[in-house]
Amino acid sequence: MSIRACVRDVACAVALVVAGCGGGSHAPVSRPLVDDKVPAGFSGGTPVTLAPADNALTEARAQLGKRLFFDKQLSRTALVSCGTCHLPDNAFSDPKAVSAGVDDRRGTRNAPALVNLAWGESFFWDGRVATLEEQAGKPIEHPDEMDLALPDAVARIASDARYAQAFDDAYGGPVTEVSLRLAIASFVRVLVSGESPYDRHLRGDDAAFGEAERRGEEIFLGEKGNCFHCHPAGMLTNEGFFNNGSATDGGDSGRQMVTNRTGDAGKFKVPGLRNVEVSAPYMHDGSLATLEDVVDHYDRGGNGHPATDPAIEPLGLSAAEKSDLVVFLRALTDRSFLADPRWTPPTP
Amino acid sequence: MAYRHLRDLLGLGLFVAVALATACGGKHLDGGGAGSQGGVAGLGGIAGAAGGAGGGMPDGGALGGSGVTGSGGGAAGALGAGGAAGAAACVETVTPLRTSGTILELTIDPVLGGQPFVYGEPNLSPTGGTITPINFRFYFSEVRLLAAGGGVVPVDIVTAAGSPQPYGVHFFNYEDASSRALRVLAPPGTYTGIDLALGLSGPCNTSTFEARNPPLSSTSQMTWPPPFGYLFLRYEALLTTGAQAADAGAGPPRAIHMGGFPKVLAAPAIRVDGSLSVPAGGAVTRSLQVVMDQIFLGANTPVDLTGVPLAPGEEVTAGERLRQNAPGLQLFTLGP
Repeated sequence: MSIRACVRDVACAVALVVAGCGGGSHAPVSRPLVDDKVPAGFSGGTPVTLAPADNALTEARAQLGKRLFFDKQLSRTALVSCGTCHLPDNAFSDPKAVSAGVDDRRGTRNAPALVNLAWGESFFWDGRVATLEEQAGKPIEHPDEMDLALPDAVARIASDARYAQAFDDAYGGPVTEVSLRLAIASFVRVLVSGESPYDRHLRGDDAAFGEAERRGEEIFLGEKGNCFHCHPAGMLTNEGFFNNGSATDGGDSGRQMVTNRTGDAGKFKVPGLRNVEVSAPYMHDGSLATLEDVVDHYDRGGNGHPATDPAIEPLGLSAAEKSDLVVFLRALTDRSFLADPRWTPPTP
Repeated sequence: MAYRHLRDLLGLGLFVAVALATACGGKHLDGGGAGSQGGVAGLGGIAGAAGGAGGGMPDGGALGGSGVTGSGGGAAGALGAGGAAGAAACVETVTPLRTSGTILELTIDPVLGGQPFVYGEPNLSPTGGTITPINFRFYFSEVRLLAAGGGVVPVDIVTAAGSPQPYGVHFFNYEDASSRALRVLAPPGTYTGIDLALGLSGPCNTSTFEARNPPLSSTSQMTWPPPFGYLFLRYEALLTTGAQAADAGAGPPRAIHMGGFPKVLAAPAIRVDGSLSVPAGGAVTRSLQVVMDQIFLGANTPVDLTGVPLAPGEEVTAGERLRQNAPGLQLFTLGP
């Protein structure tokens, strides 16, 4: 078996990880997708321990999920994969304000970064699903994204001989709608970023966390910047839903679409901020192009949406304070995560 | 590390400021108006709830205290006002006080003007306009039942299955319907009321939370950065023009952030009067009404803030007013 052929075979790809394909001395050896890394300040467990009982996290499942994540067969046109809108170089976000789905259809919300979601409590900007497993099937079926009914997706995968053994190894049988979603969720669950200068700072290593970063952190975590109310130290998200003043009155109602509550108009999920530097543009609609724009947005107290949270008020930051805040936000960039070869799309 | 540096610097400085201010007996009402509050207590002073029932925990902790200020005078002490001292340690897996009993379920029902205070929807404000609560959550801990024959009975806060809740606390989040049920495992008997702490006990109220699991993790939305501790109660609302007009202190506030500076600002002790009959079998369900009118009154009534280590912000001032005023108010009532 050639290396190339081997890589096309998921089952062998797993073997590659463990021992190298065919035992060849020059075969590429990569770290497993599944490890026990935990970003600094995160609690509750590791991706392995946080995985649900009906989808225990295994290397075979994560590897299978990775292949599916980048497989364009899962869109009606066979031209769009999950990875089309969630690019590894951008912390699995999309540099476009709103992504282009099948037939170049545009949605209304920015594709968020997929980082450290193993610790997430709800998903999508409006939090309409509670698990990664449920989330995984939604973009496949969404008409503006991949526009493929899950039964059709299953049929396509089932007809692809490369997947049969991988599904059997991972889930003990042929592909189903459930195992398809579970596998993709397993891959997303291993996307752990925890080696930014901020992470190292929290662990006591300030080699890459200088004075400007410290000043920015103090503003971020103090009443001066007020950021901590939604982005507490460590996880930098409280997993809540808030109207941060970025919504447009009469526009996307966000969380309200899920709860139907008047007070939830314009609320969106608070994202984690690891790698925020590379996940521009920002906000639920990608309306802010740069980190500087984001800081300016909060400094002026939002855009005046009538349901803006009371915590969003003009801050009166100086130019130097704004600069320090941006420096701090850039200290959340995990270069090792962005350069990690494990996220490289598999060879078709 | 910046965290540690900040915590040490501010923590020590604020603690010294508090100690000095308290030792000197200095007072500073945070605004004009009612001055009926404002007794000066020592650091960590403990003022009990109405009637001031003390009571020993098996581990030596105490809620409220004997010989405390009664509600008649309405005077809660200053810094440690109405505080619940709590247990000796904050552990996630709590050793139960008892393994048998009857589950007493108290359904938390916020009311305003005697009407249900509906989450996420406009509620008529007593001052005109509407109030739409968009965030309302708090902790309960240190629950004790007041025995009809005298004495207090500490009880565990438990799950529906009867096992102790993590860290021995109940976390109410109005957005989460399942959190409306406060359950305790009670010995059968007749009781005349409930004492509890509105917030976290001392050991759980720390300024580091990264290693904590729910409901004490940062996703509770109840954490403050060091050197401050946990929020005990968090409330935010959208007010229409009519309600906002009264936001200067007489009407409903937009936000209340009541919290505790570790080892200095304790969770207020609350007494809820009302007859409770707990049979030997089955389960008992009662309504525990949260009287928002009293919450707003407590948040608006000025108190002595001299030396109190508070973060800036109107919502924090409102919270500290509520914390100090709470023992003299009827924030909660028992319903059918």
